[in-house]
Amino acid sequence: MTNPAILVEVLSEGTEAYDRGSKAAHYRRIPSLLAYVFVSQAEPRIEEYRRADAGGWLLSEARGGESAAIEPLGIRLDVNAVYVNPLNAELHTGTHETRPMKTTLDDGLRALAESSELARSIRIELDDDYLRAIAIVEALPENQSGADKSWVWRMDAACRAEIRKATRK
Amino acid sequence: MESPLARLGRALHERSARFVLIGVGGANFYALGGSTVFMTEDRDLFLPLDPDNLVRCWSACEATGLDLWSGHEPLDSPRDRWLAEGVVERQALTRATGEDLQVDLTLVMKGFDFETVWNERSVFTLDGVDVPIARLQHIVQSKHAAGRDKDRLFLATYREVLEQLLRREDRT
Repeated sequence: MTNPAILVEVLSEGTEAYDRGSKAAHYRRIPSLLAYVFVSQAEPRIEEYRRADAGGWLLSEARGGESAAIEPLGIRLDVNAVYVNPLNAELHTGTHETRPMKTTLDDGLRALAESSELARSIRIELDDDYLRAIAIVEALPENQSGADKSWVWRMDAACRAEIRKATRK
Repeated sequence: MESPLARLGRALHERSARFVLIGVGGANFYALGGSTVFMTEDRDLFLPLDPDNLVRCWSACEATGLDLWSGHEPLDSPRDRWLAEGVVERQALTRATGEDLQVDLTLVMKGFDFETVWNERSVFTLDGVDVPIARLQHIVQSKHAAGRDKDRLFLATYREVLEQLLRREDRT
């Protein structure tokens, strides 16, 4: 995936330390990323780490019976609905309701449709400010013809290698 | 070690092929630091509507170990002028793929003709090889004209990146 806006990681016991550590650190270096979300398998818990306007990352946590805000998508997820057991077994925490798998899938598909609608709704105008910013970047000394840009490939290749490693897990 | 893109660039120059790197891969060459490099799997090389040039580009790709595709099928053989004329006439895309490099040889850049982009190109070096890159303004304007979801997302993110960069420049 190129330039993700949101990444969702389903945590597992074996990889949670890695997911929260170096993998999350890598996520935070992805310029396009607005938020990453951890979904626990051990208990109904969803954590959203959202890029703050002033830099840094803000954590929001939601547990069973609560709803998790995924701010960049402008949606809220019912935590209990996310944790509905596909075999229709009872949930053991929170004020749950048992729902069939199909409903969960419907919820997921609806959320995906809403995300896609959001992408379609983005309207970007190439106004004077945007074009002026581009002109400034083009005019910088390091962006004049003849500049050595070998580091760009190395950086891109390193990121792609990390992503490939992460997605193999 | 020479990067795969530099290797291809060298092969293209040896054959006097004309090409300009466009798309997100091209915009990355204007990055000022790691935080402004966007990950992308494909590199887009914009080529003139010239069958001879296209044959030279195919030859360079093959010489650097890339496989050539048209849609989901391997590009027909022989990869000669006659085949290239058909591809140019249809303004079809050829994809070149290898282990570490995927390149789209495109004859279309939305909103621009090749000569305009070529005449105003920048030339940066990558592992000692000159790589012609479209002007950043042309890349952004073309993405705006194309207007696909992924283009709009890129433009929105890129705008934010530029604003952050320029705020940082102001502070220093």
